[in-house]
Formats: sequence, C-alpha cells, structure tokens
Amino acid sequence: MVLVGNLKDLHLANIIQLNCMESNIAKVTVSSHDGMGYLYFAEGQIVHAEFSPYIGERAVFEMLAINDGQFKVEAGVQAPAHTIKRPWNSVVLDSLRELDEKREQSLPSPQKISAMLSGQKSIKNICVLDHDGKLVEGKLDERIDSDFLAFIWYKIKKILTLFNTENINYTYLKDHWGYLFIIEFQVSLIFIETDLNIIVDDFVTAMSKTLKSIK
Amino acid sequence: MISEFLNDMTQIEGLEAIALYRSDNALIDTWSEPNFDQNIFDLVSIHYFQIFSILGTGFRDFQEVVLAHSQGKIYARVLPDLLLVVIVKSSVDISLVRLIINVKIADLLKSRKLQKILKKVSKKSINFLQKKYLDDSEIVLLNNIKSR
Repeated sequence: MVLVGNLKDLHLANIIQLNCMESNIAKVTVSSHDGMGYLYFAEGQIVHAEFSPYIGERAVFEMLAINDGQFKVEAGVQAPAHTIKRPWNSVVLDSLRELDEKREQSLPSPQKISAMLSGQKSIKNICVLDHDGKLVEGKLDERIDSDFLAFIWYKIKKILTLFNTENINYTYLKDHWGYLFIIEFQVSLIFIETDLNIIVDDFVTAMSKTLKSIK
Repeated sequence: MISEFLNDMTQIEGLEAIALYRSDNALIDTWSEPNFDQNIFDLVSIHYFQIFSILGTGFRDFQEVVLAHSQGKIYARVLPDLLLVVIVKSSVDISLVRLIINVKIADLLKSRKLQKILKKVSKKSINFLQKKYLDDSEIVLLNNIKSR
C-alpha cells in the first residue's frame, strides 16, 4: 500500500509517530526543494534514515525541519541498513527541541528590527515590546505607557474576532501630533511614531517591505 | 441622524456601516448596507470604549483608532460624548472618511436632536474598565498596570 501527501497537511513527526505506534515495516520518502530523504521503520522504531549527505539521526533532524514537500509511505519495505539505535521518541523529541532552539536563535533581535526601520522620513520614534508589554528595545514617548499599549493590542485582537479574521494588516492611533502604528512582527509588537506628513498606505507598504526583508 | 448629517459618507463606495454611540454605550443611530450583520453594533462598541478609556488616562490625546484587516478597515473616533464607528471595505481611503467627519461633525454636535439625546446621559460616567466588563486576561493586564 502506498500513501502520498503533502507535509503541509501532515507533519513528518506525525508520520513517524503513526508508523512507530503501529509497528509498521515501512519506508517513508520525503521530497522537497532541499532534496530527497528516506526513513525506514521496523518493530516500532525508526531503524534507518538518509538525507544526503546525512544518514542516521542527523538525517531525521534534517527531514523534520522540512515543512513544505511531498511524502510517500510504502508499506512492507525493509531497511537497507540499521543506523539508528535510540528509541524513536527520543530521536524525534531531541530533534524538535533542537529545531525550536535554532528557530529562536534565527529570529531577528529587537535591536535589528528597530535599526532596519529607523531612519525613514517622518519616523519620530520606534520601540519594540514583547507580548507582555515589556519594552525590549527603544524608548517610549513619556506620555505613552507600554502596559496600556499591550492592553490596547489585546482589545484590537478581540475586535478582530468579531469580524471573523485574525489577520491584521496594520493598526494605528492618531492624534494632533501624529500617528502611532502598531505592527505585530513574529514574537514582538513594534510601535512606530510618525508625524502627520505621511500617506498611511504608502508608509505601511514601505514598512511591510522592510519587515519582509528582515524575515 | 446619520443619514441627515453624514449623508456624504454613506455615499462612499465601499462603505459598509456606520454606528453612532452615546458615551454610556447607548446606540444612537446606525446606517449599513443591506447585507451587513447589524448584530456587530452591539458587540464592537464596548471594546472601543475600553480602548479610549485607557487612552484617556494620562496618554496623548489619541482620538482615532484605525484597524485594517484582511476583509476591510474599521475606523473609530471618539467625539465629545460620542463614539463613531465606521466600517469600510479595504479599498476605501480612511482620510476621506476623516475629512467628511471633520467637515460635518460640528453640525451634528450642534443639532437639537443630538443635544436632546445627550441630555439623557447620566452625569456619572460609566467606568468601562470595571471588572464586569472585562475578561480574565484583561483583568490580569489591568492589574499589571495598577501594580507598577
């Protein structure tokens, strides 16, 4: 029996879990733009993995990092070698943990975000907050409190649920001094204060472009 | 009242709904496209009253909040004793909405009809940040604010 699908729909970790729990003898082929890889299962374990140039546990780690690609599960295919000795759940959990750490390290620092956005005309101030409202970069206008901003952001998210969407393009507050934009970016909230001499849509397009380049 | 004083705004292509509230969250008037779900008017205002309540506590004088999402934009503006919420499609330029309000609002505020409605507002203003209006997360967020 052959089962094919996309890793977007079923993550490799789930495919591994399924084959191990069911004690299948199977071969899983993974193909993505990063290359082709193979996982072999027997007696409720991953017994062998290849993802060029890696074999064994490192190959499992590399394949678990793939989020977009095809998979094919073939039942009854025997492993050509036995390169993995540790229990499957330890191999998968350690790999996922390492991937999480790698992902966190690759996030741009608040300092980098601020530096990339600053210097643009009309921008008076930039600061970055975490989702608890803690200021992690920059300095807020003394008339603005970061905790209040976190509360406002929470309310804005709630308003959005009424409109059956979670996707915010941008949000801003306006007074006689200027605009205060609030942009959610990865795990941060970016606040950008500008004067009134901007065209909002153009400004937002420019900011989005800059943030995409940081990603 | 909206048809009378903000008629120009209702003519904007892509405008979906307008709601005018008294500062005690009483709905004064609404206007909307025929297919618009009017139930939203009862749900959305409290959030804006809370946002403007927070903004009013020692903040800069922010009077407008614009929220652009995947399906459109929501413009909220606090006015003396009033809250105005305008819901539009993404294509609508908010500066046009703002301009019409700026031009027309004086007449609306001076109108006898509105003055009569506003007279009914209790002198004691409602605190929209009371626990009964908040969910658990909001209570925690506000407690954090108070504890600093």
